[in-house]
Amino acid sequence: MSAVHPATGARAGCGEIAAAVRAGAVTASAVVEAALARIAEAQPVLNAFTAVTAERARRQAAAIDRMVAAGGDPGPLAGVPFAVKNLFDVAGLATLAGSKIEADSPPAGADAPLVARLEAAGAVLVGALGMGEYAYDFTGRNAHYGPTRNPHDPARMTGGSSGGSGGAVAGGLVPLALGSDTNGSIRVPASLCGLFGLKPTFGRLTRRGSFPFVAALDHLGPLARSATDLALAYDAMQGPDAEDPHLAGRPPEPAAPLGDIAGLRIAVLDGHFVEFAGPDARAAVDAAAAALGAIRRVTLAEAGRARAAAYVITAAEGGALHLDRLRRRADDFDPETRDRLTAGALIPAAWVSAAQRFRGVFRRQVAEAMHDVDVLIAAATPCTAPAIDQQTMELAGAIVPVRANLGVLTQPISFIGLPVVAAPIARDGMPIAVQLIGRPWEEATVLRVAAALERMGVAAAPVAEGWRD
Amino acid sequence: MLPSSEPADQPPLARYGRAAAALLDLPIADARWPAVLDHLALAERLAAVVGQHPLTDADEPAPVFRP
Repeated sequence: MSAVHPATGARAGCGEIAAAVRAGAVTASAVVEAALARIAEAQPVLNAFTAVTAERARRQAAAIDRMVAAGGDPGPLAGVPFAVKNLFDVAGLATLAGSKIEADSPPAGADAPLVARLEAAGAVLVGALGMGEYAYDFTGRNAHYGPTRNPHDPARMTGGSSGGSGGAVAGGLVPLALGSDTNGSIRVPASLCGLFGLKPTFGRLTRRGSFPFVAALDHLGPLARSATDLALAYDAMQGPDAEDPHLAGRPPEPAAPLGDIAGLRIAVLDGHFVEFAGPDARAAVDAAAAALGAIRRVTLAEAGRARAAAYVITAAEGGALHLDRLRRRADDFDPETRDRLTAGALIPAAWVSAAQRFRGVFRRQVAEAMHDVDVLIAAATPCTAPAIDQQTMELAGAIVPVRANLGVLTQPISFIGLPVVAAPIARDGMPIAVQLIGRPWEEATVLRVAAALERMGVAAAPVAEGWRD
Repeated sequence: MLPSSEPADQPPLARYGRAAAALLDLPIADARWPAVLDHLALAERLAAVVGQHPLTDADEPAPVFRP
């Protein structure tokens, strides 16, 4: 057994690591030790982690190695180091959700089911990741723990709110991370950090054991450096959970192995999705569309209104959720979060009800638009990563706040819960991703399209090296 | 009834915001009110965008909770 097996390297993907560990070509312990060393090296620059569970990881890796030595099979993610946004419960850690306030909460008594399911498939948890406070964020900034930094250029933001998830995977610290996506919080950091990210259909994966933000819109999902790795993780996390009332009760529908895309009808979203896409974003969409032969254009005329409705629901539900904390500990919130949540708590019910009712209208309109289209393409962010402290940017001929507008292209889609893969387009300079949007419950389809773009060399998520400069 | 400290000539959104905060027993420091009202005004504008779309009585909220 080589001491420097490629599966211990930063570039190794989930499938490569698991194959090597299951075959006995490398130990899970060696893979995990290498990941822990990379985390220790990068943390002072990238600030991706808020906790490293080294001893737990070593115990889990040793157990996997014993199983392999005894002729057993640890599972499809054997020895794969992974980390989770710190809104997931991890036994023994306070579930911070990016906040100072939750640091005073007792440690979680058990792992979130998605963490447990990944470990049941052989993966090894190595830590918890930084995020924007209470997930109300598109930047990765955090007044309490400092910003997560983009591994391609640490002077730039990771995007958020799953900022540590983006930084940890893009920097090659781990090949897999979990995030959450209420309005774009997986897809935005996937785009700005150059990663593949999956926001499954609303109601697909259990949310139990995660700190909520907006019950009507919250999704959980993985970020990785290939579509196949997303599929491996996604498949391991599917399944029922009688204690999560938001689950739709779908039977597991495995996505792996990812087949070809013959016969798929793919179109490009225009209107809102072009108006609010900058030059880099439009070029990314053009590259994906050209590779996939997507010449048809589809307009979702109400996309802007959908975004407005998502904003109202988010502000109101988030404000209501945090009302008691706002009463008791307003000064302990991140200032960038506190006043938005406070305003949200004051929103009249009639505004929220109209937004929820419009959700059904928009869902029907998009279903009609996708009647004869399988996948829609749009940019994931309007631009590449802004500077960490950048407050405004030019978009559609206006100067607008960065924080709110990084999600202008993702919000209308999560509003109606469609499955989306963010796929990073191969290019020089800072990365940017496209959204591959499917019909409800067709995660496998959008993952197949992402894999096809990878095979064609149009999408790629190389390990970022810029942070070493 | 508005808190006695509130001038009646404040814009409706500010009067509403202060009354709602009082009803919710949500203390908000004076220095924070401009930012809170900016965010509430944005929500008002976006709610108006939503409100411009005609809804019928049959347009129910999207189902989320499944017993």
